[in-house]
Amino acid sequence: MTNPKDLTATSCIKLIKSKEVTATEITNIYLDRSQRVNSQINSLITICTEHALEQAKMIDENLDDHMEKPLLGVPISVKDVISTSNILTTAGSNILSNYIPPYDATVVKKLKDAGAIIISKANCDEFAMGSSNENSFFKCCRNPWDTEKVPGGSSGGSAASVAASQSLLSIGSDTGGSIRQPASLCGVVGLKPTYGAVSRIGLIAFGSSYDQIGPFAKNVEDCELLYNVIKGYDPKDLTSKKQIPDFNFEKSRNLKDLKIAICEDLINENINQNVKSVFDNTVSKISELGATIEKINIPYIGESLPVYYLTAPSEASSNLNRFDGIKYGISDQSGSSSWDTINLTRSNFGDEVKRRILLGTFALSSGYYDDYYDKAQKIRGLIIESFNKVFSNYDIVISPTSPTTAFQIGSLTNDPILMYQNDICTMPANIAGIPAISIPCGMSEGLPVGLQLMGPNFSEPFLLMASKIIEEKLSWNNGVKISI
Amino acid sequence: MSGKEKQFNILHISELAKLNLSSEEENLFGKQISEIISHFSSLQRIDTSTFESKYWEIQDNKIHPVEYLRDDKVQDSFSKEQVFQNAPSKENGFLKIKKILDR
Repeated sequence: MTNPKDLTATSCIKLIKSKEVTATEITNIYLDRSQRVNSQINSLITICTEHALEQAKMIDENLDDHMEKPLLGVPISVKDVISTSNILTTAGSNILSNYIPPYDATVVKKLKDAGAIIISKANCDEFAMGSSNENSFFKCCRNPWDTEKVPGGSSGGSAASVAASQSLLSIGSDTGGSIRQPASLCGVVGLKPTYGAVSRIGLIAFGSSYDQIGPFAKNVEDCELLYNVIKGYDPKDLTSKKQIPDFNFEKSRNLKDLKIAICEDLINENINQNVKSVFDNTVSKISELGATIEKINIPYIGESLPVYYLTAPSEASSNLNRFDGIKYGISDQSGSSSWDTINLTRSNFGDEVKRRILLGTFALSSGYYDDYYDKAQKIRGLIIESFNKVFSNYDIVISPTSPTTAFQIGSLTNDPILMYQNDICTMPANIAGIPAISIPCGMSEGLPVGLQLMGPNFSEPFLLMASKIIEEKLSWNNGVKISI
Repeated sequence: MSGKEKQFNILHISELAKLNLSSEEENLFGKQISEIISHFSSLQRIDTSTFESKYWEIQDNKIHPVEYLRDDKVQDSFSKEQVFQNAPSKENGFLKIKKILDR
């Protein structure tokens, strides 16, 4: 019997190709584990048993026709903000708790074409707003390393489902760190691609100039495999890049010629000392690989939090206007007019979503627009210029992914500003649109710590190569595994 | 600018946002958002007078709308059933809503 904990996507594909197992057998193993573990960690909102077995059967019946598919028979979870045809898609919200999309997101189509088996829809913060998964209408997902702790957010269910081997891969979305931060807290790999590298069609919008869909995996090799499937131009998405430029780099497998910058501005008093010491240890291991590492300051990057929390909620306040109880989603028709329907239905948003709609509405409102929204957009431009200058001198910028390891459920829910600071290291990449990856780099008190690597636009192949070399060097968990 | 952040008016903003808030929520969100806004006042100290362009004009991945326009061809679309499959209330192929006049 195949142990779901021992497989990777790459090894799973080999087993199916060599006909040692069938796609249906693999699917059943992961469906079974998804069910069992879900009662402990609540990482999944929907387990797609019928759909998954149907997809697996199609592969098994014509295996020879499917042999070349890059994700042949690999079970994957998809964050519940991403539309799946005829499968409940809630965005973690009461408002969409009955919503069945009539179409697949472009990434979901690509996954199916690549032979992946969509086995579940993963829990997340409501409309992807949060850093702990506690804002989900479907209750908080728990961290599989310690079920009293949060898995991070907003793609907490995606990260937890991969960490807990309920699926081999997952798809999440990252607006301010929502892939990388939970990847860090759950000890898996998560990539936020360059803005425009992956189609956003079918992603329920939060902050449209920030949102990117990206992969979760157990290791960098699997992450690359999944990224290569989902990337690419989509004529339906005006912001997807028509041609992803080739990023030129030496594919020599060492880091000797690399110039790596440590962004000092991100390593301030907010970074927990244990995280800092794991990070420092990681830096010295990277320097053993021969890379040149220098500490630098990046002008304006210290303003990322206000820039992000003024502009992203502004976009959200506009995007979430569509939830009105009239076209789709739940509807409160107890009032006497359509205006009542709209107002009463929207009362069903959760607290954090309401807070961000209000904050964004304020930043865009007459009399405040220039001082808040427009000011923040200009500083966003200054941050982009800062990064451009940095990448003319350095190949990669590194930092811890998250200032802390997984924290206690409930410990930050009453303090929005403290909660927002969880994204302090991840927001700059969204602000600049650049790609960034989190890989596990060590443990602190039994919980994983993540290393973030940021690169220039469309440098994903290079970032992944560098991440693979660093991953090999680190042996981050010293063999310690999740017990559940 | 000074003192402006104190003027966050929860009643006005919640009306603009089409959110019915309970008085408890008004107090909580009013207080929290005022705090957030004053926490963000650091931005006002940054000189952006030399920054002329909008942020997206300096990104590599500029949007060139013309390049993206497809030919004006008839294509398959969703069926009416699909479009209406999630509608809370419908009748004879239309969305059914409550009155919108005499507010």
